[in-house]
Amino acid sequence: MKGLGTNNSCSHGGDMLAYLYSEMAGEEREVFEVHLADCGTCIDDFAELSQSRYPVYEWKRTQFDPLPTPRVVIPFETPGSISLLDQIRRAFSFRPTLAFGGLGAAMITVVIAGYLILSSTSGDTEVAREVEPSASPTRALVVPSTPSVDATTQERIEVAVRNERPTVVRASTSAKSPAPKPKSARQPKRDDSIPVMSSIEEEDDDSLRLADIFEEIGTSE
Amino acid sequence: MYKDLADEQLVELAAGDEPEAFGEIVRRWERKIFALCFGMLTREDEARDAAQETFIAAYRNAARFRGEAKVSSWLHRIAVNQCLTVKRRAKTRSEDFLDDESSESDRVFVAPLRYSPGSEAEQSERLRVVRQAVGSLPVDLRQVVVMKEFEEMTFQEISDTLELPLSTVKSRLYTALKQLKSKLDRLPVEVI
Repeated sequence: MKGLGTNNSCSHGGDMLAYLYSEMAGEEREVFEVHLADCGTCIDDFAELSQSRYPVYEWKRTQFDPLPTPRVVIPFETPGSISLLDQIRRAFSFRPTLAFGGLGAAMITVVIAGYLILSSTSGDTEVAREVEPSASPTRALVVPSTPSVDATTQERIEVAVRNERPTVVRASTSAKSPAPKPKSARQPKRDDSIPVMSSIEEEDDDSLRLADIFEEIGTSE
Repeated sequence: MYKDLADEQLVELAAGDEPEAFGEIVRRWERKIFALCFGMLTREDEARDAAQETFIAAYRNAARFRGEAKVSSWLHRIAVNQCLTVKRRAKTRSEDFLDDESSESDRVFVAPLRYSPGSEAEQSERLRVVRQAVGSLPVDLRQVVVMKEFEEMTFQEISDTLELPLSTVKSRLYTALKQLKSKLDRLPVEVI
């Protein structure tokens, strides 16, 4: 065979298999047969191929050809034949329509949420802009102390305001002082030698005063 | 008695006083010659007739065998010439058939000959060995054999299917058949 045989340099060798399997055209076949009748090498080569081919052919004819053609049945599914497990699987299986629908719904939800967040943020900004021109609430509540009024005067003003209330409130400076003592213990005895500023102070003012300090010093001595 | 003798010795004996020696030649080569005839004629009934004619011609010409070539080559040549003769006859019959339609019945109702070279057990064993031999081929070679013999695809169809050059397909089949021949030759004559 041309380029295939090991013991054949014949130029007609390339047609060997085509001739063996009847794939050679009529005129070409006649030419090859004329050559085959005279070429001992091609005869032996062809005989070898034929002798190894025929057992395979016999095998096919004897054991394969009598076999019935397998009946191919494609299991087309009907709704009634679906098992429960398959129905569950189908329910959780990927469906493009549902997937795209869900994706669209999620996108709409995100857009609405974003719009609400942005609108609420812009409302706060407007309120802040409305508040911004005025002073801060803390600053508005602070009453600047008048420099011309001294501490004692300021304290007296506060005491006067407190006297309008039933409870006793210490002055702003008392925040650092300890808790007020019981009135009986802290109330000093009236000493006529100490000048009284006012009747209000004498009765209700329990703030720390120099008179009290002097009194305590005198008692301790 | 003749099993231990070489082919050339058997032919020499058959040409002499022991024509029975040619029986051993027939036993050894009948199947191979039949296969060769089948390869050329592609019809089993014609191949059996051609094989029969081949051995008759060889026996008649045994005295002319000089031993210059192997007996196998000698038989092959006789078989090829016999097949070519059959083909020429068939061609002539076909042309005659076109000229005279009355001969149609002679062609259509030819009963196929039942050729039984061996017992059923031998055939079963032979097919088992062939299956084993084909199965032992490398996959790329076996693939081409199956596509060619079982699926009856043409070389071009195999080439297109496997996306291989036509020459590669033929080369693989050629190699496969050669390897099969080598594997089957190792088996006893009774099997093959």
